[in-house]
Amino acid sequence: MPDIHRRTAARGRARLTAIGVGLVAALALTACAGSPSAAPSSPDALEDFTFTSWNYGEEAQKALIEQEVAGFTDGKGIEAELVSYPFAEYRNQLLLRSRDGSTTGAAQLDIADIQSLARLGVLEDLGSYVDAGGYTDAALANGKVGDTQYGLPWYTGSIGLISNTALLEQAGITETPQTVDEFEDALKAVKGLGGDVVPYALATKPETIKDFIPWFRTFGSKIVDGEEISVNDKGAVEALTWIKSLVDDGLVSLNVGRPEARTLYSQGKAAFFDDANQVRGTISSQATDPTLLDHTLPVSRPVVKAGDEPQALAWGGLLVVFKEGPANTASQFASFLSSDVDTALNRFEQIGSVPTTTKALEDPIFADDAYATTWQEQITTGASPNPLWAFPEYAQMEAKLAEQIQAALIGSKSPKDALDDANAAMQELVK
Amino acid sequence: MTHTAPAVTAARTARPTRRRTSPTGESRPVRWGRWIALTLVSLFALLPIYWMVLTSLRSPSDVFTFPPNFLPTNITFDAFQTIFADGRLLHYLGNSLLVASVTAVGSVFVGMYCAYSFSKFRYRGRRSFMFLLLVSQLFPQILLLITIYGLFSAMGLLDSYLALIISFTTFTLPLCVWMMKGIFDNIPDEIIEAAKVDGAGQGVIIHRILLPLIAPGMIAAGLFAFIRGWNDFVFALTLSGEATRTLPPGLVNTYLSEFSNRWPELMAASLVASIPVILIFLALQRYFVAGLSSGAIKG
Repeated sequence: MPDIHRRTAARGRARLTAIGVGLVAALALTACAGSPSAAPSSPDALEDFTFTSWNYGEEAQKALIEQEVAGFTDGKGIEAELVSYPFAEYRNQLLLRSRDGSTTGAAQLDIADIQSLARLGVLEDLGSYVDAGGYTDAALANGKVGDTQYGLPWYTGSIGLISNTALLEQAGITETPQTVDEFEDALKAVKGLGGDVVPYALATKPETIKDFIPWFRTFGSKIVDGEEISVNDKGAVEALTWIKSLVDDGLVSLNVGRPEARTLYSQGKAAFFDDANQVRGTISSQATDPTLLDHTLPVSRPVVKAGDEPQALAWGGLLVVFKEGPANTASQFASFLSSDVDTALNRFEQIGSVPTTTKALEDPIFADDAYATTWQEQITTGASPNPLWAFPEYAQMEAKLAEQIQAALIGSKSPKDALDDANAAMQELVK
Repeated sequence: MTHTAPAVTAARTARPTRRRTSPTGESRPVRWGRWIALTLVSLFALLPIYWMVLTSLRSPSDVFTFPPNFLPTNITFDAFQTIFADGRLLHYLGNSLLVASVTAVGSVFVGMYCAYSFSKFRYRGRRSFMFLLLVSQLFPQILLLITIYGLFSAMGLLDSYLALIISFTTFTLPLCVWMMKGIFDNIPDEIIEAAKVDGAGQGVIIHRILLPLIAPGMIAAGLFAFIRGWNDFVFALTLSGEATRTLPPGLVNTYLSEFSNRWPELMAASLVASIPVILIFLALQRYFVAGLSSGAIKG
């Protein structure tokens, strides 16, 4: 019997039982008229709750999440209802459903969306769970809005640069490029190998425009300056001009999204691409060469001049709890799921999800994994969130930016004009 | 003794000359040109389906082969085994069939009376109401979603089949009304007058006399409504819950994920999901074509 049917049937049985119990209770009350009524349940008593997660809908994590949830509910006499929405639609669904209280309990949330959801005033303050959790400061920061801890960090990481060392060696590149100039030379060398190689599979499609943010910062752009948007400052224009030159030289391709970049890389046709640390599993499932993972190395993003700080985009997932519904139980569940060391390490072993507590990060299971620790040192350490995420309108702002960047990449506008237009449109959104 | 006329004899003995034109009077180059054009258009239309079948029969690593291979190699039925082992596909399929069928039947049933009223009766506000129905089709449906969501939330209808059926009907009903009005317009008023003279009431006229005449049109309208309900993604995703989820959001949720898209399974599931629609079309194709054209010309 599929889970869905089982849960539906269980709910049906529960309703019938509740009706039956209600009738019996009503009859008992009628029979014992005048007897004192039962005390309301204690606020600390555990209740059934809902956990909403996009990952639950995906085959790769369905069983894992069920196992993790069971780790909390088993032996407590409570049940968790698991709900999911497609990844691409998750944000909209959660925002819509949390407004009218139809989403309750705990939910998975991308760190980009914490500001938007917190402003709706629907989230529980989880500050009281911070000390006992043992989370790292960097992970905790992702779940904070102002001084309030609205989200507990479930997994953490960054979106950084991944390289195929075998392909680079084939092109005569034995040292990891440190500067933008060295990086460009490496791309040209890979291009020199011929064939249908895309040296740098930068995601140029509008939906992955966030990958441009670390490059803008690399060239000195602030993106946001106080309350003002500044995607047309000197650094941003330089960065876009440079990326446009890479497109013109055939070192970067247009119409590449994250899935296409992964495919190109997995087929051994790209030397570099950007992705989150958890991509290891995807590469191994798509790779045509079984040894590709052995040659996969996370690298720091090149800098304009030696001594600059390498840029990376912080990435991660939070657990939030809605005020509506069984907030106490859901908060305890969120705390367990994000801070229980065994649960976090099991998650890391199964899908490569990086833990958020000091204890789990120091455990040999994580600490002895070369890929994971290299990623932490090379990329996550210097990662910072996209400054646009501070605005509830960030999705529309990114869309405006993406539209203008596309115009620049296809040559219908100069980088300067395109970014001026983007800046004006984005500023209009936050007036 | 009869004598055959020489002209007739000559005609009989003469070898028939090969006709240079088709029965429709087309010359051979024109006919060939038409065949080639239709073949190309058919190939263009069928290519996505061919690609879908091909992808469903490949392993994930073969799917990502670049440059793409257009010929079937390394065929595997793993994707089909996976989707049938997972009960969710049949669950979503059942939900889609239920919701789309009720939407189609409801739209046709209600639309039939509306269309009859618009076509055969004259009353104040008739044109305005017809225009209003037409205008409702011009709004982007996403604009209605928030309003409908709020309304259903307040009514406690969220995550129910009823929410899906009502929301789908809001955009299938105007289509059905306009389609069937054209069909009613095509029925001569004399038939209705004759029935009235014979003492038939409106119920008898519409159910016993007009219904058989407009059946093909009703089937065509019903098919349109069914497909609209079958294919809807945004409303289905927003208004349904885990138990009432239909195919489009169900498949997206199951096979398109954050880190990887399971294309073979998605294509296999999409193929299976298209079978009911194909079967319905094959069974009702005759009526569908007749229904589409029946309102086209005023008789």
